Amino acid sequence: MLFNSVSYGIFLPIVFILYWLLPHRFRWGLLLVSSYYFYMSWNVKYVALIFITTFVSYAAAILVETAKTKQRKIAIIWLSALICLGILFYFKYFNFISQSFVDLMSLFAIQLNPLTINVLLPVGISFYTFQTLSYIVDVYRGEVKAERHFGHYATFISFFPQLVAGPIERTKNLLPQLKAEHRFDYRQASYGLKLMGWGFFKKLVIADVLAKYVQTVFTSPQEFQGFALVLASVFFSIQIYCDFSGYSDIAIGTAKLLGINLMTNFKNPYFSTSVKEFWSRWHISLSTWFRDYVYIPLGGNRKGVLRRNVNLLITFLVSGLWHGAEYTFVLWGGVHGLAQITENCLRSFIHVPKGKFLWWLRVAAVFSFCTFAWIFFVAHSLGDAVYVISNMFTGIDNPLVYLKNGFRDIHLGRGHLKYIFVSLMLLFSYDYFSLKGDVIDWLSSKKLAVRWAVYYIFVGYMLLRIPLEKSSFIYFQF
Amino acid sequence: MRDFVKKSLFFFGSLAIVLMAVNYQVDPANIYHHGNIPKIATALHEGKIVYSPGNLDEGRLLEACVKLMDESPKAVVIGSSHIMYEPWPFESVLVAGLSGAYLGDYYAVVGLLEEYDRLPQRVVIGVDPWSFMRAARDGRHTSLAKYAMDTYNKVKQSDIQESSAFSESDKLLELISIAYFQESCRTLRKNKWRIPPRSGIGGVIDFAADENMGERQKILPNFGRIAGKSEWKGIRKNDQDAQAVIRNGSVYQLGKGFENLQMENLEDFTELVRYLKGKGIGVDFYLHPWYPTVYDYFCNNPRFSGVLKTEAYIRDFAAEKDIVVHGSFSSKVCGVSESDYADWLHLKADKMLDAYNVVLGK
Repeated sequence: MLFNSVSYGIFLPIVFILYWLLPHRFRWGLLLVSSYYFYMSWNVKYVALIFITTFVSYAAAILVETAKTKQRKIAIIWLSALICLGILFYFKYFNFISQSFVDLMSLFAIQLNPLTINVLLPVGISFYTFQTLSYIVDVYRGEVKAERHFGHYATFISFFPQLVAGPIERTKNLLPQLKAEHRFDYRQASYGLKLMGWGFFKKLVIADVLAKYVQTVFTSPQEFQGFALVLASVFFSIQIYCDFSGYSDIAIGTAKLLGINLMTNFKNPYFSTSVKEFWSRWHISLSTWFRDYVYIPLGGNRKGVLRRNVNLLITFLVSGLWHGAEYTFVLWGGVHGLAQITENCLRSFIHVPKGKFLWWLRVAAVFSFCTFAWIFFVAHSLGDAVYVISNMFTGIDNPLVYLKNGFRDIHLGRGHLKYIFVSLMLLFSYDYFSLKGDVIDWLSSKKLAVRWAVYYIFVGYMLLRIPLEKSSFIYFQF
Repeated sequence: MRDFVKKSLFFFGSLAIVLMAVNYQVDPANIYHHGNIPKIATALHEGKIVYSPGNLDEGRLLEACVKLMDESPKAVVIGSSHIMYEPWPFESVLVAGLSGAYLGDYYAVVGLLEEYDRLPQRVVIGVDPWSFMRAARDGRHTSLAKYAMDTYNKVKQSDIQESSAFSESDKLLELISIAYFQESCRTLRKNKWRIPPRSGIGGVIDFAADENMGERQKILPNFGRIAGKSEWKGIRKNDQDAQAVIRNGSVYQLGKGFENLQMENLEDFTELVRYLKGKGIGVDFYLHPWYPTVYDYFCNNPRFSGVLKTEAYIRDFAAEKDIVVHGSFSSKVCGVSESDYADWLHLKADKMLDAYNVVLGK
């Protein structure tokens, strides 16, 4: 069940009404049943995987807490991680590793046939697996107590708003909220609904519209050159942001309707002035996960400059691999890791003066860098990525023709361009003003007539601009 | 919570009301308004010529016309707008052209004729390459879908009851459809924000005095059309439109093209032909030539190789069953040039007749 589907439009109001009508002691049950139903609407069989992962991590956490020795605790952690990551490995990485092994052997003139399995990747498997892993580690570290109530714990792992594409919640934040008794809060619910509206706008009106142009080019980039490649790359930068942050907004908004606050996942990342800052604003739940459970355990920045840089690079390479079992994803992670290492080195030598103009220049530079890195992410192969990068500026010696041909080649006419421009201006304004305060709160403080007029115009614009093809969310594949 | 629910219901409810009102009133596909269609059919039956109303449900009008027919025509021409225009070289002919017709629409027309016992002695099928991109029960004109299903069941000797017919519940759903709302708004904008005149309300039928070419398209008593002057674009505009189509890489119903033939659909087509022949009906095929530059594009682009394969398949099947194939997808074979086209997709009517008279091997 997709957020942007009619079935979700029926499902959510039913859950919402039942949730607030039921006494507190039954609510977790409702959430658990509806979360499993939500997941089963994709694939009934794969719900068993969530159940196994949930059960293993639930039991492991209790065993870790009650184990007497450190060695025993660590052994339990490794065993449970082996099972949870084993499932993830089997479904997501088996073919990749098998093919990589065959490729490696072929370097030594040993020809092998790769052993491959033909299975569908379970939606959201990387997200809930990471949530269970962080829970066990947190119990080991003594940061949270092992949950004894299996129902509460299963609800925490499968909570439907964030089940398939995050935010990857921490036990400390979500589990106590699921157990606590909530009273209906009008402001919170109203804020949630508005946030969902903004998320739908980003997903349906921006991401899905741009997706058409991105797909046209990246399906077969060799058929294009020059500005068409630049446009497609920039559009993908915006598409992936709107697609994923749109999903997060809908997830957070949905949770708010149920009185639960999920963690912020995006904070206007394209207004970052450094790659480091970008990662403190982009997919925050994942980047902090990698910080807490990979980077810091590796030694973080506590063991000298060289080790810090190596740790950083490893963390980003693993992060790339988390996104997908392809070398292009690993390379994307590597490029970001190297950029941060370079930034760290430069920061020691260069003092960057402050100023508004320079701030905009740095924002533009970081956006350009991110767009460049996204090429590896979206390209189907390394060859495609290299082609796009090396042919982006073909024909730029005649700038007017270069620009005109770019729009023509991706079939972007004036009519559509006008609407894309309007939508992007809305996005840009929202994000820019979000740097200074909460736009939804600001709007809510206006007079009733003003804000309702804004809501109607906004939804009316959405209704007219929503593309009619069905679309999924990019991050579902991870 | 009550306050929240009330406000939400008011907000979303008012939006839904606006959506439904616009969809119902503008009704670009004439789902809710088709009161004039019986009147137009009666006028045609009485031998009158009418100007084609906007947003005409061609399937529904054809159904009404066939219902009123006194006797079977000698010939029926089935196909898309490629075969819609007169003249046809038959004494008594029903020109059953339905815009963008697919295989399912061929099935539907046969089913409609059979339902009212109006099957002719001869059927000319205007075969288009896109026809086989959809299955035999999946025509474009949903108002005729039940006839497609009837024919399918007779041809296949099956008893399937699912069809793409537009049911009452579909109509209700379409009232709150965002896609329909967008189409309604586009229609409103084209019509300077006024509800467009349509075949459904008003009760006024615009009669034409004669069969000569007028400003707008005319419908003849045999359901054939006379193109309006506005439909003739001129060679320069046709070239531009053809170039735009090639540049976009998306050709009318063919979309992005196809490489491999949909064998299942082609076999359903051959079964339909066998079915007609089994009833003693003579069958001919007509292949409408594509605009020269567009046809060259098909020849040089592997994504559209399916077009050429379709012609080869049809010719092989026709040779096997002793069926005459008129015309060709190739303008060169038909001996027509750019200046013979009304627009980039359609030949001028008299040139279509020239193309029809081209029979390879004769």
